[in-house]
Amino acid sequence: MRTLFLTGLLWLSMLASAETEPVNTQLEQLKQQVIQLNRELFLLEEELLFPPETQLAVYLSADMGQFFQLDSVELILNDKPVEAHLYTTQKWDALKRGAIQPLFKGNVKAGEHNLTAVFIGKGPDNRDYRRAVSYPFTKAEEAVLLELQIKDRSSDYQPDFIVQPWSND
Amino acid sequence: MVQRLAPAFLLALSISLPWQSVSAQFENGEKHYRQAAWSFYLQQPAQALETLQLAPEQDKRAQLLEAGLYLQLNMPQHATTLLEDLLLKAEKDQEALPQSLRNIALLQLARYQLELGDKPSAKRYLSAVSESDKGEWLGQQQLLNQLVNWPDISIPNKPDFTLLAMQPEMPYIVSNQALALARAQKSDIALQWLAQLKPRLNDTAQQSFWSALFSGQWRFLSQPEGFVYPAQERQALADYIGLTQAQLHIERQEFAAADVILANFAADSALSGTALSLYSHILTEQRHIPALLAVLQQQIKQQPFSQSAWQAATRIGEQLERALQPRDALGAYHWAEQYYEQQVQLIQQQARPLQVSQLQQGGSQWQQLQLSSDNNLHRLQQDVLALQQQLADAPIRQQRLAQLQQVTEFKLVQQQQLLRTQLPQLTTKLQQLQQQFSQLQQHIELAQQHPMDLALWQGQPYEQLSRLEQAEQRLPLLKQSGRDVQGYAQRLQRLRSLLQWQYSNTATERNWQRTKQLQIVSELLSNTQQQLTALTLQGDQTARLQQVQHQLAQLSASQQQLNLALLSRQQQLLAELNQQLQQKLQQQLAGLTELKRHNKESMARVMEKVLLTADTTNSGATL
Repeated sequence: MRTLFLTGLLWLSMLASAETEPVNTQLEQLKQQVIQLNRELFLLEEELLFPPETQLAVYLSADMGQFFQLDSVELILNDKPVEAHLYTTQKWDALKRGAIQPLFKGNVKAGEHNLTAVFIGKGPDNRDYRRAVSYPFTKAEEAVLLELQIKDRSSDYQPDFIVQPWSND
Repeated sequence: MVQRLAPAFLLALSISLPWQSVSAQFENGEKHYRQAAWSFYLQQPAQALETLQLAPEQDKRAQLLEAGLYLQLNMPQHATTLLEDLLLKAEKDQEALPQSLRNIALLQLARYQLELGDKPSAKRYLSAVSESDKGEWLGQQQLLNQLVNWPDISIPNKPDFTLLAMQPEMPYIVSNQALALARAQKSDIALQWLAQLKPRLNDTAQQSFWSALFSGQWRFLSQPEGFVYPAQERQALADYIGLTQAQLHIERQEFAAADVILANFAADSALSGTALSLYSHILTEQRHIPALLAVLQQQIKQQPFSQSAWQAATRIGEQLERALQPRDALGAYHWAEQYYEQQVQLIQQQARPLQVSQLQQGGSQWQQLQLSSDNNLHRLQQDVLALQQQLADAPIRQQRLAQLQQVTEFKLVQQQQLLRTQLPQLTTKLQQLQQQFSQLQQHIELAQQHPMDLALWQGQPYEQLSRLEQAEQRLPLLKQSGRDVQGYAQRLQRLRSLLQWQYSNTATERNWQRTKQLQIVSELLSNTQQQLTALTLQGDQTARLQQVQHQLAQLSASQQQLNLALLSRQQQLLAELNQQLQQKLQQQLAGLTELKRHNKESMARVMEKVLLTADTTNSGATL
């Protein structure tokens, strides 16, 4: 009954696959070089395309999400739409698990600006829900980083939408 | 229960980390961590790793995620280095690493060492895993212990279903224990354990975020129901347990029980090949020739290009021979002969060296079979495809580099233009304003000290005062020429008094105007100075832009070198893959030649019998 133990060990061999396989060091080094190259490229892109003097970045996060399910977000900067994003179940799920989405990155001149975020989705009792939040801000030398937060408000069982600026430290 | 990534571990960290670590930098690291999680959940591990590595400072949890991401990118060496570093740092700094994180690191290191075949190191890491960790890692710990110590694994008195209830590894652990029992000639107990295990496979076992990250089942994280055990794997486990039960029954000569399991075995199971082989074995033992012939035909149909199918072809003749049907047996051997010829031709057609594009599409049926049934070939295929992905990304990277080079060039030109035109203009303006400013200041000072100074007068009053002063200067000349100037002097004196009165009456207003003017000029001066400073600063950026230009040129060169290295490595791997496939081809052709020879011998033997029988019949008829 040689076959008995051969098949019996099938799962063990699957878990400890390629037990005696040599590790492909060269391949890993090449992959690491690609990662480094991408990182350097990203940093240069940040410096050249979005310098702090003009940078505006918007992020999105959700806490709990019991009273709201996000379908889409539209960003309007100084009365001009600059970004629109649709949310699949996978994306909404990622947000509910604590992920932060980098939603928009752009350049604005120094001075006074106004950002409006329009949230569309399903509110309490699965009703269609649409809410806009405006945030006036002044652009100076430092980059402006804003986080749009979707929160649950337990006091009246409604969703809450907040714009939270990030510090540049 | 959906496992939440951030809040759950935030709690763990806030308990274990000192207060001062909850600083702006920690918050910044936290933001990077959560952005990395976004890419991770969208199944972009490379992007997630990039985001994570941009954080100015990483906490231990971020380091652990980084290690997991390296594993996702099939870079186990980097993952190991990070995990070892994490453990070492915690030990060195005498800083308490959260128990859960420490256990994850230790288990992954043990697992990696096991894959490398270094069992003593794997044992060392496993022995350091703490057991008081709410049993979260118990399943993984026990399974790794089994793998490290196989076949001398510890077997409890009864399967520990309660303790392992929420562990995804439970079916593996118990079935391995059953196998060990069978080896120890306790197949009756092994069968009992397997029977108890089978209904428990339907229980939903959940995996934690870390467990899914390191087990490679991260793709299932995207499912809305959370980290449930994949249904496909659950089915494969059920098939495996059924197969093991059948094997044990065969070992115990309980063919009827094995027959029941194998006759109903799913044809689409990954283990159907083994099941068919076992089934044909018991049917042979039981001499169920018609059923056996059907099974052998199934094997030929279901498993093309497999050793078992080829053996089945000649075994059909053998079984008919055993059933004393020599003519049918001869026909079957003839068919097998043709089948082998056909297989040789097909394999040779389908075993042509692979190109990368063919590999991306999976290759021929024969090649697909070899790639999916051999670990080494599968790994080579995956490596070639991973390199192809990197090569496919290269043009996009090149495009990004080209765009940055254009931007840098544009900024440099813009800078030089600004410096050439605006700098002299601004400098002249500044000088003019400075001159204006000092002039105004002088006027204000003069007005305080000599209110009637001509320099302070303007417009009509200035002309009047000038004429008055000219007239006053002429008076002594007129007096010298003997004219009576008494009257003129008095009139001039009256005029001066009048002008003085007029002047003092408007002095406050004029003073206010001058001060106001001074303020305006001062503001203009300040603005111009700011513009000039900004422009000078921009001038300083020229050096940085030139540096960036140089950096981009270097990156472009590195990218080209890297592409060449990737391409060369890919070609090496592809050559290795094709070489191994050719070896497989030669082995299989040799196997087929051997089977053909065996089939020919059988055919000759049966033909002899048929001829003898025919001769006997003919002789009988003649007589």
